[in-house]
Amino acid sequence: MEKYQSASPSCSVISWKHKVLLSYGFVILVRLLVSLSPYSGHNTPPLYGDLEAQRHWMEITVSLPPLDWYRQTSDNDLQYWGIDYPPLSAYYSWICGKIIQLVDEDVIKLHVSRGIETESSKCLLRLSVVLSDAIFLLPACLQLCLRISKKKDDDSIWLFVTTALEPCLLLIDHGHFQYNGVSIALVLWSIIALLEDDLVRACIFYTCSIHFKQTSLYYSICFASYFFSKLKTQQKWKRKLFQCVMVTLFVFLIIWWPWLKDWKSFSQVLSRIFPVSRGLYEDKVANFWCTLSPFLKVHRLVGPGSLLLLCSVLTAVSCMPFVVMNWKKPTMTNLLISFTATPLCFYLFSYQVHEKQIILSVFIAQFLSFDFFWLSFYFSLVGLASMFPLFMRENLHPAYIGCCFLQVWLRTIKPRRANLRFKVPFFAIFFVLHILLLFANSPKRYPHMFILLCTSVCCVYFVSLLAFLIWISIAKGTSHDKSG
Amino acid sequence: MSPSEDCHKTLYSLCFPWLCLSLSIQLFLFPSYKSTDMDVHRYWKVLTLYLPPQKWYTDTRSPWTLDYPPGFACLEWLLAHMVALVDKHLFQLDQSVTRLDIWIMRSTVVLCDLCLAHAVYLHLNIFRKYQPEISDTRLSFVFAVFVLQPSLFFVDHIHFQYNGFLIACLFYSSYFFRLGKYLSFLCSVAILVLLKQTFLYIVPVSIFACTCQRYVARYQTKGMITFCRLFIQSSIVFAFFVLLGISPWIVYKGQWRILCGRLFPFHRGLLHAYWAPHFWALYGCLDLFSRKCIQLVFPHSQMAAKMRNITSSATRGWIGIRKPFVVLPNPSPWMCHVLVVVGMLFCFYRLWKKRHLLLHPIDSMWLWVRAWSGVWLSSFLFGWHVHEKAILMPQFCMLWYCLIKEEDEKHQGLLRWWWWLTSMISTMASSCMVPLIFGCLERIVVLGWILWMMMYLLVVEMTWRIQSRWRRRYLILHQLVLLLLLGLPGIVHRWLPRFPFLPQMLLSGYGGIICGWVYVEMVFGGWDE
Repeated sequence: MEKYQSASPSCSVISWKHKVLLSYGFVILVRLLVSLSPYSGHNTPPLYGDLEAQRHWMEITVSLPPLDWYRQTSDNDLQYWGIDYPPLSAYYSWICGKIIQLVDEDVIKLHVSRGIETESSKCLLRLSVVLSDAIFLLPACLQLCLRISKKKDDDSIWLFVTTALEPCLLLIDHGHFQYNGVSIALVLWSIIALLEDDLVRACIFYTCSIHFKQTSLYYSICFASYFFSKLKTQQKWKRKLFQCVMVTLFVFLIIWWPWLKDWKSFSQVLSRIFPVSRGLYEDKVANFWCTLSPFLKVHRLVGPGSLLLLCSVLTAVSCMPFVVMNWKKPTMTNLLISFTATPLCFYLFSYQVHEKQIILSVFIAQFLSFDFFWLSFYFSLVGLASMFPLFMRENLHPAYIGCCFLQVWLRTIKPRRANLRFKVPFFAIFFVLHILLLFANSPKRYPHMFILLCTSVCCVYFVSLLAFLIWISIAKGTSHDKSG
Repeated sequence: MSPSEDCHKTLYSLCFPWLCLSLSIQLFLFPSYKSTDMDVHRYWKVLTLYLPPQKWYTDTRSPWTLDYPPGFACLEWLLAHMVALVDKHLFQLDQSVTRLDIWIMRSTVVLCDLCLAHAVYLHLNIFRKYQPEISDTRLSFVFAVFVLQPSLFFVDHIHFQYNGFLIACLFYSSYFFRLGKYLSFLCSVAILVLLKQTFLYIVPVSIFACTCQRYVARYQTKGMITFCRLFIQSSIVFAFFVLLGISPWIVYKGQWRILCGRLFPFHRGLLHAYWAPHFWALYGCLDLFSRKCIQLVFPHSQMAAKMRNITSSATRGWIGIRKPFVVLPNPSPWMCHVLVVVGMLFCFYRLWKKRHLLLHPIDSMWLWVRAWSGVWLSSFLFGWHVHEKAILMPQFCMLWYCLIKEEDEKHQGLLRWWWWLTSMISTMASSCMVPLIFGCLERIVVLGWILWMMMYLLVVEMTWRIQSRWRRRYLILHQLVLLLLLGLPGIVHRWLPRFPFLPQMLLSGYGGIICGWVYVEMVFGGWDE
């Protein structure tokens, strides 16, 4: 931790290992602190929320054979939080369920435990998220931070703490309750493998990540472009490509094995995972379509088929500059920029978007904190604000404000930082928005007016951010210096 | 931050980040469990808001009668009026508290704790002015230590109390002391006493120190009679302020007696429910141990038979029992207070010897720290019905030692001394708060935090090798023992359900040894200002 470093005589400094240990502990401690907050669906029968969903999945996976996980049976009611994540996620639920079973069987007893809200159930499930972060996410963060800062110095520790305390993930995983940390960790491992030119490993991790949570597909375009641009420089690229394809297929086979017996069960799982019928977006999302909706209801003008096409085309076009940049100059910074930008494109323009999916972009943006110090700061705050209506429903206000303070702390203790640049208009606008959301009654005719106002402002910010990133990518793609 | 880039930043920009971190952790702790203390403070707010001052101490409709002095009641009154602007629902006692009510209650604590940050900031400002060679990192480190101290977080923000504000007031008073503003100093000490009666313990040393300061400043040559005159003068000024504060309750008939009964409940017994880690806890352990020995060695004696009758009630912590001990003699309240005063006298002697240093804002601070924490420790060790949270006062006084400069070789011993003291008392203080905390996740958070602090202390020890070999070994052993004692409740709960109070007793007994040790080092130990 930076804070205690020169507490004592400056003859020698705390060794790197110890600093990592302390910052690791600190990051876990903050996660535990956030875990104290109420979770999604706390005390709201009959459906509860995401915590109950995850617990129910553990209950299902531990008690039933894999073939029954995704289909309607007498023991598995798909209407009550049926599993809609890919198989790896289900396996992970199974592992967590087995461990929880060792400690307290009642938490995941089939049928009986539905809607259980005891002290030990809350505690065990919260701990399972914290532990999976500690095992998967934090080591990946540390590795990547080391690659970025190249030296084992205070800056790299700072970057590690900044990325590990990324507020959106912190609040969604440990406040709202989800396991996004694991899928993002897998993406980070694949980024690390890409940076090491180990394409086979990158494929393995990326495939795993998609099979943990389908939203990791948002990274696929930039992953592919970087992958092929690296591949073309390799000497035996055909052989390499063959290896990658085989390995990917192999991983695929292993993960899908229980459902490959017949086409029906396979397609059943697929239809659970990709619910195209669920609409353009859910709730109020700070994306392009939702912001456009007060003026122009796109999904009423165009049929669902062509809407899907329209979404795909717009997303693909907005991703193009980053694909070109990665293809021309596959450097580390470019990779990180494209991994920030393409999920943002998907979030803004694609089909069936949740408000939580902004995490995918914001989290990678934190790794750009050296090059774009203030951008990553404001991006994380706006990303957080775009989910404020969700947090408001779940009584996470204290943790929300706490995360904002945490961000300010992180940005003001940065060793050798750029000048303090807190933009007053920015904070004023968001302050007013939050006050409106919290205290003002919206007019009867437009019950969601303020929520929509908030998400629209966030959307404007996201679009301008995307424009800035496109400008950067074009500048980087056309410039001839090799520094990147 | 590396020392090389220490170009003088403003003190504000050094402190601001840590205030942010502290605030964010305070906010994260908002949803933690609701303790009975929160109900108590809620009731006091209702009481002060709706009843006139003369009825504050006569109201007996609730078990949570007001047992803090009038100053604190006024604070509650003020907070109640602020809360009333936002949330009227909190004051409807027939309804249970909602989540919003809890948040608002907790935010009053956050508001009061800001005073602590401000008080520390004021002191650091003086240090910066008179000792500009103290590095930026050191200053921000000390600020961080004060605003992120786990023991205060446990009591104030997980459990529910306003200790941060009391500590802040203590620091405000020492601020006046450093600057030599006698009248403000005495007034602030009077306010302290009006805020909480335990501050009576520091009244003698405050008046004495103030007298010494005035004596040295102007009347050095005039001899002892002048000194006595000054002492009486200061006492009268102090008494005037206190009487002014409680005058409304003297004027009303019969209130005086009730107030005294409320503030000094000697009938509550020697030991608090969760034994504080002080001398009497150790004494109690000794008593229990010798009782067991007697029962084992002479099972048929008259004494053993007598003890068997008592044992059943006594294993659960002797709350409210006037005579808890069976084998060893039971102390009376008078005995306790004589011991406290004897413990204090050493601090007085030291202060008198070093009185010439009292005029300088830096040296006087170190004298203040030593005298005050000595007095606090003495009252903590031997006092009657001491709460475990009372350890916060000596701990926070001693944390100032983190500012002592020890860059040069000759001060190596000094570094060893203060680092030993602060690390011992900090680990002890945060550990003895753990029994207060309920709730599964809350316990885990608290234990994790303590573990982190111990890890930090160990890392510092490994890096700079501050202590001598034996002390280093002891430091490691100390932390292991504490961890074991903190983990013990789980084990006892599972396998030894017959002894529910055993872990608490061992923790307090061990804490008694540590606090006694710290007191001895503090009063007789090796550093000359």
